[in-house]
Amino acid sequence: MSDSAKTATTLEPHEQTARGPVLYLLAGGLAWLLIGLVLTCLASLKLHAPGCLPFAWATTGRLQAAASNVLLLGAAAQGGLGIALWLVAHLGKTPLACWGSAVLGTAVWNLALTAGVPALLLGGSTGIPGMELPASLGVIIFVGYLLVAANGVAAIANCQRGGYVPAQWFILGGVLWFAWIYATSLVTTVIFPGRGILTALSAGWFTQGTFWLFLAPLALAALYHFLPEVTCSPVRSPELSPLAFWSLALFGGWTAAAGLVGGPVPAWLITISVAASVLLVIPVVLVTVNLLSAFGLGSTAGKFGQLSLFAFLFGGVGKAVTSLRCANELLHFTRFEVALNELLLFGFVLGAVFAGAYVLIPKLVGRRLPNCGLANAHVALSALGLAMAVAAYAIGGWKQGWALNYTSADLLSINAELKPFLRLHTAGLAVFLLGQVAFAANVLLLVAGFVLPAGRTLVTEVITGSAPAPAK
Amino acid sequence: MNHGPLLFFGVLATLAASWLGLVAVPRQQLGTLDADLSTNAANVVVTHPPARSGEAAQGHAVYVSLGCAACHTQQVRPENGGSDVARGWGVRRSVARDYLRDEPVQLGASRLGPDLANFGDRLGTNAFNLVRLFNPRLVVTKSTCEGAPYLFEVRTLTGEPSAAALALGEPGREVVPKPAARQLAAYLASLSSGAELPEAPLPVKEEAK
Repeated sequence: MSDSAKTATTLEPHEQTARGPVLYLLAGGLAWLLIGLVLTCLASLKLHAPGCLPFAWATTGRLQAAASNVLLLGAAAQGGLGIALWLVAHLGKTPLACWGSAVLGTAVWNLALTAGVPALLLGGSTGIPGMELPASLGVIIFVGYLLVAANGVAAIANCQRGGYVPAQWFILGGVLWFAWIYATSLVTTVIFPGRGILTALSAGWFTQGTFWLFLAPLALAALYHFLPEVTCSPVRSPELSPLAFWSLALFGGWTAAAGLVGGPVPAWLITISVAASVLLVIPVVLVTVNLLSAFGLGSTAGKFGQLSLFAFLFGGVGKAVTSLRCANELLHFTRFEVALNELLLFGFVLGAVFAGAYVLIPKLVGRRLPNCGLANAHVALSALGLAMAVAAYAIGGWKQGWALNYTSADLLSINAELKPFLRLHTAGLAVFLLGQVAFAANVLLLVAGFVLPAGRTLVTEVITGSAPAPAK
Repeated sequence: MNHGPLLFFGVLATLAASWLGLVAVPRQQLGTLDADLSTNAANVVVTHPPARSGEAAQGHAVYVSLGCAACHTQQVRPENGGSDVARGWGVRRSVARDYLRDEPVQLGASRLGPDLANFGDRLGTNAFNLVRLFNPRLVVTKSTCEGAPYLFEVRTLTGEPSAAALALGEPGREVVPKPAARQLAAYLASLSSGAELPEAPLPVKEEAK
């Protein structure tokens, strides 16, 4: 493969402006993904090995809070925005107005998140689920986000071609929604928190909104652009795409209390949220109809795209079903809910980001990712690890919920029954992490190829066993 | 779908509607909720939720900081939606008023550990056992709770043992709770939300007939 190590693709002048910020965002996203997964693995480990890491900085709660903030605000958000910035420049045939501000914004964002990890591990959490970061760091991340997002919105506003395509709708919606959701949630949860239960409601609006109206639209934008391209099958029934977008827009913001069924909030709030969760099946199905194509795809990007689409289908339908009162009674507070969240974050959102990254990185860098084996390992380990982790928590969570609600078994024996599933989950996460390490290694090889041309020849020779590309 | 302004206002309107519906209106409805005042049998006015002692209020901060809510919920679901009442985690469902003293509320979303909404009631008159915070498996062998040994000072016994030391029966070593451990224990002992409220009557017991 070394003869094709350099791709012939050249970037248009307007695409050149996206190169710096996109590569920076993707690199940042990858670093946060690795850190977040290590923290998640440790948190998962502590559930079945409570005696290990007996330190205040390593309680399950602190590890989980740090992990979820890093994975959502670091890995998923930066990865998704990286793909999005490329798409708005590429699709709109317009340069990023001020790409330096996007780089600056990402740097500020990374600094704040870097301070956030020790802050959370040392006990600085606000205690509000989803908004654990101290208010000051939240505001700094928000400013960094605005600098990045403004470039995206400006590029869509300056679109130089006739009309918008679905990827552009989803990106415009996603970046604007998150700016408003994050700003208002910072005010209503950590700056001027409401009394008692109101904080929990605002936090629910933030976490649900961040998924449905920010991460999901960014991931869908990537899927709408890259899946048809890499699978060479056009969007089916394209007239359904506007319906998918507007149904997501309409219902995505209304699921705030979906995690509070049976909880101490007014019943009408829960009813609305359950209804919205069920109605969100509409965009999930429409997107699947649009993008589903034949199996057996050769390219790594195509495999991640398919993984992402299926994770969205199963995760979205799963969310709707588990919000229904009868299912919720059984599965609420169990590991099953965690399984769905992991499927949607690791499978759907990150799958879409990787589908985009495998296409974009060669384009932006001008060379292919050097090692096919590592790319295959990345796909295989990601899919296997995710399947193990999700299956373990889905089955274990179901059994846990059944025993908790419909038997008189005591909690200690329920947890003893759950233990093998907790172990399998940790193993699954570790496999998933290993997949991401394979990807990171591939990226490092690519970088090494630039930094150390001589070293690169050697590395390629050793790893692929083929003749090295002639140095230019 | 080719008009930027239409797209922009559509996107703005859908979000604004959900914010009004799910953040602003609940604030209007619940923002003015106050503690319930009622007179008990001895003609004394009791407030619900009761004010916490200073030590228990500090313990709430410890609970938040350690992230205990990762495994413990503090919400009792209604009797027709789960086994919470049957498991003895509360006598009635939790309602918004129960949480007026909690900044921020610690509802929790996972039940790897028991619900703690009424943990103080389950302790009865006994004080909370600090040994459980030091190492839960010394008290409950099969416990999967990780415990918080860092809230205690472990020291070699040289002279007189400390009066505050835990009764672990280990010669030559004593374990003394730090203030945070006592605060957390006071908070856990203060957890009680079973009082009857106008919006949350206690269920009528069958055997009372």
